[in-house]
Amino acid sequence: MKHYIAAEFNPSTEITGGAWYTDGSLDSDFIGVLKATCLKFVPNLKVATLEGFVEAVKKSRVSQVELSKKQIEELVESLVCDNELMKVKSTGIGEFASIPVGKVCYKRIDKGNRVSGAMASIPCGVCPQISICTPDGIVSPKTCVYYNTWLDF
Amino acid sequence: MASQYGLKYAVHIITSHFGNLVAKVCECLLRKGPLTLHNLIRFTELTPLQVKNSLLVLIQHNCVQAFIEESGVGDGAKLNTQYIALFNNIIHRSRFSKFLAIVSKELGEECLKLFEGLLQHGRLTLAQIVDRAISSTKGSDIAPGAIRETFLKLLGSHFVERCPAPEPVLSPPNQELPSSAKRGSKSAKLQKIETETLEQRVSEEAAPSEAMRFLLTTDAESNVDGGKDENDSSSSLVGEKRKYDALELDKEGEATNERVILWRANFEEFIRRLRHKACIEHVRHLGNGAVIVLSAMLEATRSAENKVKIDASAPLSLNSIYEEVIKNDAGRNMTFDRVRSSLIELGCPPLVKAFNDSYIIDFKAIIDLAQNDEVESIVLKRYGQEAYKMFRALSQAGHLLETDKIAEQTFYEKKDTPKVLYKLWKEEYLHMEKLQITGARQSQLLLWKVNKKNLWEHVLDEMFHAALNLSLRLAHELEKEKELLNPPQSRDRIIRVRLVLESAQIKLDDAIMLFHDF
Repeated sequence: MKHYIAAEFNPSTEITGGAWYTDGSLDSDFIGVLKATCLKFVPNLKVATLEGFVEAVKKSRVSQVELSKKQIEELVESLVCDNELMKVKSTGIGEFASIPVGKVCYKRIDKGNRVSGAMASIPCGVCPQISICTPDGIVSPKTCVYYNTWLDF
Repeated sequence: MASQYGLKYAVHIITSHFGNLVAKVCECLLRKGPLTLHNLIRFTELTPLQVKNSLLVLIQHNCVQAFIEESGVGDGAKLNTQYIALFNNIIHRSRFSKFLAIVSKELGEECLKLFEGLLQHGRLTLAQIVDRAISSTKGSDIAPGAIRETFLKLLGSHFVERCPAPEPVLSPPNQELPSSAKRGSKSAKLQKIETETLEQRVSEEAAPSEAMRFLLTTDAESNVDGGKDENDSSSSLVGEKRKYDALELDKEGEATNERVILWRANFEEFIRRLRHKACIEHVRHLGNGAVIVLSAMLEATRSAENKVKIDASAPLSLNSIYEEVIKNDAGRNMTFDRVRSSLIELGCPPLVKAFNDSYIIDFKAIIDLAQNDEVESIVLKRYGQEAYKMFRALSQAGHLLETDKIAEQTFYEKKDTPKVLYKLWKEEYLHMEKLQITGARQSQLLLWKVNKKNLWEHVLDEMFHAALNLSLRLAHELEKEKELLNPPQSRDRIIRVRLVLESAQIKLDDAIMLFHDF
């Protein structure tokens, strides 16, 4: 929905969508660059705090507007949803030695050695027709085209 | 009650192993629950002889258990023999190759041969085991004593156990106390009765006591090699760390002297080993040190586990862990500090917890993580990256979230978010609720949530469906191969196809165990 406002006023973030929106649309490129900056700050298998991310984004000068701690937290939490970062609590020992016990911090996820999903690696696991597939039906494992492709590589 | 495709897969296994007739009887029991012989004949519309023979086969192979249920009280009490299908044991039949691999790795070739016989025949007496072993090695002399020693190794590792009672009596739930719940408050016992399925109650009632389960001792059994051996150590308790119930031993000792004891594979122990193996696989990404340390902890605490699905292991001190680590080739060169740093790695996320100078394996945390990874990988592959992120956001929140909130958390366009969430909801991966907002303007909010319990059941059913499909496709490919004239390309193809399908079956079965058995 378009809103009109006098030129001397700045619209509130409730209307513009805040730092993440440009012309009413989500600024995916800007968000992508900020996320990449955050990830670069955490080398593999090391630990970072939210304050560390805030500092890293500030130093990188990627953003022309100053981003609040809350906004950086939103970015970092979305990296957790992306499975790029793992949210943990400091144990105060080892790699957490410099972080107070119990403080929330973030670790980079090493995806290299992860166990891959069993169901996702067979045709049935990703099949959009699984709910109508039956042993002797029109959609069945014996006649399945996804199986044909999978087995005749 | 097993899920729709769980039942179909179980029936398919029985059909493949024992034929259509036996499968028909089994299917009837699986779908209708426990039945008397009379009702089984009525529902299957088979002859009494066919039903009886089918039941004999199913009982022999530990797929059905008979039991007597008391109904009524006092003079009016009736005792009816009913038969219940043992769904878990039927599914275990599809993973015999895994059990054989465990025996082969741990105990070697001789034990493997004996154990194979038990899997083939379902249950055997020691005399039958010995006879089978002697007849299968024609031309070479094996002393019955040597076979008995091999059998004792299987017993010592708890890979075999005494068969359950043929027809235990099951009292009505409000009168019965589970035989295994000998301690604890009355309310805890009653709660246990309520949460147990009938299959579990029957199995518990039928099972021999812990004192007898792995005990090889009767006059009948000790005469297998022609005479009593006074130095026979088999009369001492095998599995000494199990609780010893003196009262039960006295009672049961008399009865067993009059019966010939039947032995069978102890599926519980194999599932325990496979659970441990799965835990190790799911920490492999933390490095070799973590794997060696966790393996050592599992080895050290295994005998203290009184059931498969325990949430946490027994505690171990750092010194005990170190002593266990250096016993094996893999850990021989590990330093004390390296063991300690591996424990720290295992502590984040907390898969191994430190508690009062001891360490405890958090099985629940490891299994939960593994289950989440499996479901999320399905969501990613099936519905794409955006759905995956939203699913993870909801999964981690653990409560209802509004559509816009999900969009903000995952940095997705608000107008496009409902479409993604709706697709997940339609395929039963998400739970949705509508909230009417009344005020100046009426509006409707959509709230979303990952309902773990329902979703996990749904995923397990899909896995059983996929397992059935893999099996049917393999059978179809082999059938097709027989009909062809066997040109070389076709032979190469069937070898490759078999490898792909059988590997997929093994891997999928690991995932099924993750959701059903672990």
